[in-house]
Amino acid sequence: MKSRSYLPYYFIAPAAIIIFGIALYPILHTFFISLHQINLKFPDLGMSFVWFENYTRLFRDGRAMGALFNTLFFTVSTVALELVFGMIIALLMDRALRFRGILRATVLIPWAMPTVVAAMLWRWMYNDQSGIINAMLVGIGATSEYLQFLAEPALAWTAVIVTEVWKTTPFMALLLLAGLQVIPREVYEASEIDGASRVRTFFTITLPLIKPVLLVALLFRTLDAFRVFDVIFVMTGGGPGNTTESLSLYTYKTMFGALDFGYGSALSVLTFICVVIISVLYIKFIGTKTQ
Amino acid sequence: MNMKFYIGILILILHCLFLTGCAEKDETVIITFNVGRDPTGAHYTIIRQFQENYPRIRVQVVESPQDASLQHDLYVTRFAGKDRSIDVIGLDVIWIAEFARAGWLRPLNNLAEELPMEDFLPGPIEACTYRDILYAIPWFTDAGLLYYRTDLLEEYGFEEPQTWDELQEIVITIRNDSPHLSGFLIQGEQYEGLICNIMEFIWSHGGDVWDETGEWRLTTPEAETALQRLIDYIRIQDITPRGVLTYQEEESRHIFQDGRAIFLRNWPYVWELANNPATGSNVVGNVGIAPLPGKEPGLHAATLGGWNLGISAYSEHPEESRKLIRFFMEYEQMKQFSIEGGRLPTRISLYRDPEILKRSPYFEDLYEVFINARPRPVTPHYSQISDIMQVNIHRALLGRISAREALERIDAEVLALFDRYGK
Repeated sequence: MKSRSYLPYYFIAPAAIIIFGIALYPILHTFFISLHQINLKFPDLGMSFVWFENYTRLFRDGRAMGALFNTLFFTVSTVALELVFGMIIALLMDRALRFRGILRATVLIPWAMPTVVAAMLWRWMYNDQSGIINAMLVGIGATSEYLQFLAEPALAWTAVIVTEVWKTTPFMALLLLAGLQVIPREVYEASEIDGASRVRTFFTITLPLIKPVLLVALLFRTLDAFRVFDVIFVMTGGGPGNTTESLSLYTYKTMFGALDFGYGSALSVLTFICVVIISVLYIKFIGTKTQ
Repeated sequence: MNMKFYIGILILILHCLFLTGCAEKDETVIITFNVGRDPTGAHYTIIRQFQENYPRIRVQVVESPQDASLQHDLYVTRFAGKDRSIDVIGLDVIWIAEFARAGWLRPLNNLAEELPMEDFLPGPIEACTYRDILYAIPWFTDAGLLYYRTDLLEEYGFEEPQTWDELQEIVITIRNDSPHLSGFLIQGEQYEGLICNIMEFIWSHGGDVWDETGEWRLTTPEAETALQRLIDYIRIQDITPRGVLTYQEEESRHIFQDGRAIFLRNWPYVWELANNPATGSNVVGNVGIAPLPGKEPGLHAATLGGWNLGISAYSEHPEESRKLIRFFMEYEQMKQFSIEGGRLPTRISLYRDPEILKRSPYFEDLYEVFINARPRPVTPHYSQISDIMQVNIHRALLGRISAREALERIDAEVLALFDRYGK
């Protein structure tokens, strides 16, 4: 009898060990390092325990706070745009009866491209002297002189956000399409008989019914956008004047440029805490609404 | 058919394993030569010659990105992980103090005894030395120069500019007739090249980052005037187009050699490419080269650049690596590398070599510039200091903060860095 009660633990053990090993241990270790002053460039200075000094430094560091703000701005603006465009594309694809397969495949192309390649491609398109975007804008008469896309903070932000939205909208669209396709057609027929308008149908039937899928899609995208690195690294390097530097990019520069692992770990922990807060909020939201 | 294909692949793989196994018994040593991408590819010729002379050593070239900061981060990560696959490594002058301090480079004093050290340029040798130990041998040197369009200056009756005011006057006059031409191009992206450019501005206005007592102090009237001048060039006078805030060396070179600019600040490698019709250059034969202007005539300054060859402390083949470095430093090889790659040799005697002068006649006139080129701040903290300067100076060039604010912020952050780790 007794041996039977232990059995479930044996079954769970491998999963528990793996989760601890690849998820929990690195997080705890990073937190441990973040309580130390350690720079691999100065091996002789060793590793000294400094309590929360890295964290007090973090909150007084204008660059870190700026990066946090930039990251939040980037996350909110890209996810909002992706949601709108993703929804429009999903609704169109849901309607399309012919060529649905081809349509779905073509829409996925930007998503399938490695981000670094896409970012490099857009970087050339935004080039102030030989970029196609400037040529097109001048061609249609929208502007008389070439715009310095990546040299002015507002334009650089626009450029980066457009690239990210272009790149990840297909992912959003596909998830939403999956949600749309499980809605029973009878519900729509019923609302049509009741004489509901298209807009009314969208807000009272479509939206509530795809809400669970929508929230999952938003959660994925928000977490992804919050950790943004590659698009910004390739397109602006954090410039102009550090106005587009994200938290991940600053962490990278601190860790791998300066090899300041103590402070870099504190920055990673900050990112981790933000990600946890975002996840908890979403999960709470998803949980209450689906019940 | 499919099965046959996979079996074929398998046999191929086994064959390769077998071959390398044999090679090891034959005591052929493979060493890696880690350098940034060089568009001229001149080092391949020298490596081919080396392999003919030393048939038991194979050299594998591992190219990293051309962007020096990317290279730096790549090497730093590999060294911190004690990567043993780096043997010979090309080092930017600004890394040596940092890498030597961290213990990543093998001291090369014994190699120095085999080379005629008195024939090497003193500036680069100084940059390769940290606490009296030589950690790298200067491979080729670099110095910031002013390129100009001889045809345009002649047309308007101008001489090459001695001062920044003269340069401004030339740009304004010529652009009056041809507003589509850019005036003076620099490398102004938020990256290492920006620091090379800004140091030349600061030095040519009589400023520096260290004060007389050797303490860090950038907030000086000289530095402020210098930075303000560049801000005005970009934001008010349009002497320098705003696009430079996204340019590195290659972007600015392309615009200059397309014939769309009057002046360009760049490194010596441009001379070769801008005068070669095969690169698509529109300005062949119309390129002039001069020292960068100063606030007053004769106050010109050039940033010392250039690359040096060192050996990783974790290398398993230091002896073979040493042979390769020595081979690169031979008179004949350095001469050939310099001629093929358009690079500046580090051996003084080569500046009198008739073949070199035939190839690059400007070496004779600009010898003084090359020998007096100044190193960027020599300190193990350089990469962090550079990052701090890049951020704040780029902000100032964007018009976000004033020149004085930028300099004060740099001082505060650099002093905080010295406080944390010692100077």
